[in-house]
Amino acid sequence: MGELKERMLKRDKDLVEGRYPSLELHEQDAVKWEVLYTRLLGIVQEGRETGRLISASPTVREFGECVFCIFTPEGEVAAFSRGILLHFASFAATIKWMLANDYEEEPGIKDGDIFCNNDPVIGGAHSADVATLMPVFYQGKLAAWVGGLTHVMEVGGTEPGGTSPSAMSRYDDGLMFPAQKVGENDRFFNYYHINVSRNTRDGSWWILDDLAKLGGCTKMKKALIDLIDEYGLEYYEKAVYEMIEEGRRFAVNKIKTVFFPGTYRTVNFYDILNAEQPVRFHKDYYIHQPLEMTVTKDGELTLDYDGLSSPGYHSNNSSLICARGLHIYQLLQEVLYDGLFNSGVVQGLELKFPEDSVLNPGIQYACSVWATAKTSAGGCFQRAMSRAYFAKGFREEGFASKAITSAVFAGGVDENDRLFSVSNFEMNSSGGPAMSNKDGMDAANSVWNPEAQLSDIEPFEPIWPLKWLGRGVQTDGGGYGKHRGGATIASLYVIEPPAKFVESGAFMSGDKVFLSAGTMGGYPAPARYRYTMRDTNFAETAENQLPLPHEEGDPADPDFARLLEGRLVRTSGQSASVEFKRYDLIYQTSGGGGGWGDPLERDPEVVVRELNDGLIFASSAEKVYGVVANRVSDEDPYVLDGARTAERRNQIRKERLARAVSTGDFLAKAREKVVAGDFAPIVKEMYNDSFNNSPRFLKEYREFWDLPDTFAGF
Amino acid sequence: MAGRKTAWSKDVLRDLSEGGLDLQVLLEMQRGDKEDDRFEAMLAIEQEKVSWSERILVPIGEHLYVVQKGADRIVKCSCGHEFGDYRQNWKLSAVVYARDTEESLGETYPGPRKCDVEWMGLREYYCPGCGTILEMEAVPPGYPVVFDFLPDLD
Repeated sequence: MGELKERMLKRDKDLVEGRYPSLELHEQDAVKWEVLYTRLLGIVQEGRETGRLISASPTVREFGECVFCIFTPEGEVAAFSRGILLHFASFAATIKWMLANDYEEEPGIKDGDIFCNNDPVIGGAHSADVATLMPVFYQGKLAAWVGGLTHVMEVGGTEPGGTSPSAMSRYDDGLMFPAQKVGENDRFFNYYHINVSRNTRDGSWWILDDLAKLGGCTKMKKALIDLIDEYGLEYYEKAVYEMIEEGRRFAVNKIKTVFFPGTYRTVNFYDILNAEQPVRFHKDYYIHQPLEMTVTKDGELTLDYDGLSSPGYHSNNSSLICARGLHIYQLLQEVLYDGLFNSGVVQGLELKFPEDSVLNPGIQYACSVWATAKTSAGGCFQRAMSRAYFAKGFREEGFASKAITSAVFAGGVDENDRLFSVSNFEMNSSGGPAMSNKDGMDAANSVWNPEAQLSDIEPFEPIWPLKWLGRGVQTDGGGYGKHRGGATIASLYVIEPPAKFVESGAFMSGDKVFLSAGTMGGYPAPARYRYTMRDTNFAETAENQLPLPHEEGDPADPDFARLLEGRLVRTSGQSASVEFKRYDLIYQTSGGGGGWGDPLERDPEVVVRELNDGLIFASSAEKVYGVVANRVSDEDPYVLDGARTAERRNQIRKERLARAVSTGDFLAKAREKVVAGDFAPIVKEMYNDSFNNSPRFLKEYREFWDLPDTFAGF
Repeated sequence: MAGRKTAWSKDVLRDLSEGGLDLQVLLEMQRGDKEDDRFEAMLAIEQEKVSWSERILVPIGEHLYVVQKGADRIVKCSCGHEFGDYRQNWKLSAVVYARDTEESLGETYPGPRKCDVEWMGLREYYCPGCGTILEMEAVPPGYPVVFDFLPDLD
């Protein structure tokens, strides 16, 4: 057994058995210790900025879809840069995997080696997350690892853009390098990049991102060696483990301080609509994600997804490494943001993802569009921890469900015979969730990357034939509430210029179901959809200088249907790639955030202001928010009628009570349907799957509906 | 962070409780250290807000509290409506309106923005006393009522 592997196993055993290190060096000289930590943060941040600015990919440069880190020799995070925080835990797992698989012996780990991983079962989230790892040797001893990860815009697979919604298995996910040695002496092997070039539609994104990561990692290596020179290897190594221990202690104390102990339950659902898609296996899926979160008085936190749906032959599974990564990252971003960003935070957290589930599937399943599986589950976690914060009095924290982000991608051959493949991350700017004291931010960010930027349009228009007719915030695009969810971004594209071949699709679910739930009485964000319009008269309309569509307008009568002729089709927000022609239109939204609290408690002045700003519809102002506002003509702004608003709100409360029934009566009627199994086949399939996966869920279901012991499913 | 006392004024905490805290103060609070006595400080604010006298043990929603009523611990709405033992899901003693038809969902979600009623519906749980929406569930038909939170009070 290699020395590092032995050390890793011993360390893991010590942590499981609660043998934690002391903070001796910190106690001796806290300033020296803290300065070292700060300098490590400086190194990873410098690595990130170096890599980001070298990268040619707008996804990395503009959206910041990258991250850089320093690890211990055994694969624990010592310091982590800003960026895709999701990879906090999953990145480190790659090093542990290599050590566990005896890489010290074969292929060996030497100074100057470069390793690549984009296998989501080993580390990362999907094959588009391509990681570069390099060992750092100091006086002949492996003292650390440095690494950089970028989201690469093209990795092969069934579809262009790096993600493949039509992937039916792992083998459709694209070109994979499962922790492979891809370079020596600080240079990539030539044949590695030949492989990339020949097995992807446009290898330049991958290769140029590799060079960006090599640049960032090389800079980090040098800076780290200089730092160890200054502090001495013995001090450096010991201090790093103390920092991880401090991270653990901080996490336990913070959770103990800010969460009320108890048992919290939440649930989310998502849809995968492949029955009508151009994919191999024509089948819809309905995924059930129940969460039980337990907080003890001692600050122990357990998340249990017992009852979770099975994985399937679709692209919306998440590897276990990735599922762990997202939950750890969420804890970091939403609770432990003021602590040390290192592996210590993981050590006090128990995560239970059932085997053979969408968050812990077998190796054969596709994970290309992992984000649905994981961020939907993340919505459960967000709402549970929000209630824990709320109960403890920390109402400045916590929120409804965040949105699940979308993305549009395209590939093909442009008018100059150049192969292209692009994924546009503008849809990362989904709506933020409402909080107890604040609306969600419109067009904010994605769950996995808090720094995701909307990006300018200009870097994208030269590299793909989708041109923006309009981009804006969707009216009423978030969940209603006392504080409303942030609205999603929405874009309308036209295919132009006349590329020789264009295929395009999009990912993310939420067509049949609401994905971003509200909380404390707030509504979920709207269901999502995508429009395509083909064989349009766009050219003639533009030629004749007639009005062109730039946004959706009235959802019941969209502007593009009103102003143009053509074949308009509403599809799922997740659409497998299909061919498009010049002047075809695509309308895409991302997701809005969930609302917080009863909408009747929303400040009516804010409702009127948003009505005048076009952020909400007049119908929702009146029906949902109970606000009466008048205007002299269509050209004039609305003015609040305070007295009639108060009356209208009282009236709505009375109407609610008049139409509601006791929960007991509601359940008695609902039980008749349960007993008869009077549900759509997809719903029955969802229940049966969870019953099969979880004896506990079946037992609770039986008890709740007072079903006979013989009940085993629909 | 042990022993850290809250420095926020009662006015600030009251605004926080009511959901109307000034944005700059809110950001400052988010960035600041968390205090060990925030729970007690907020309980005092909540107790002042309600017109009834039972001692609040823990807030569990915007309008819902677990309170000590004699020897019992019950869930109570800010309006005074009582739901029963906190160990039982208060939703079972509420009134509910199910938006599970095209028409009822269409009242709040225009055009294509509603869910498919075969897959999912909304359950709006109202307080029988004041008609406030206390909680909302987006679940498929036949899904058991979710017990959001059982606080550990012992």
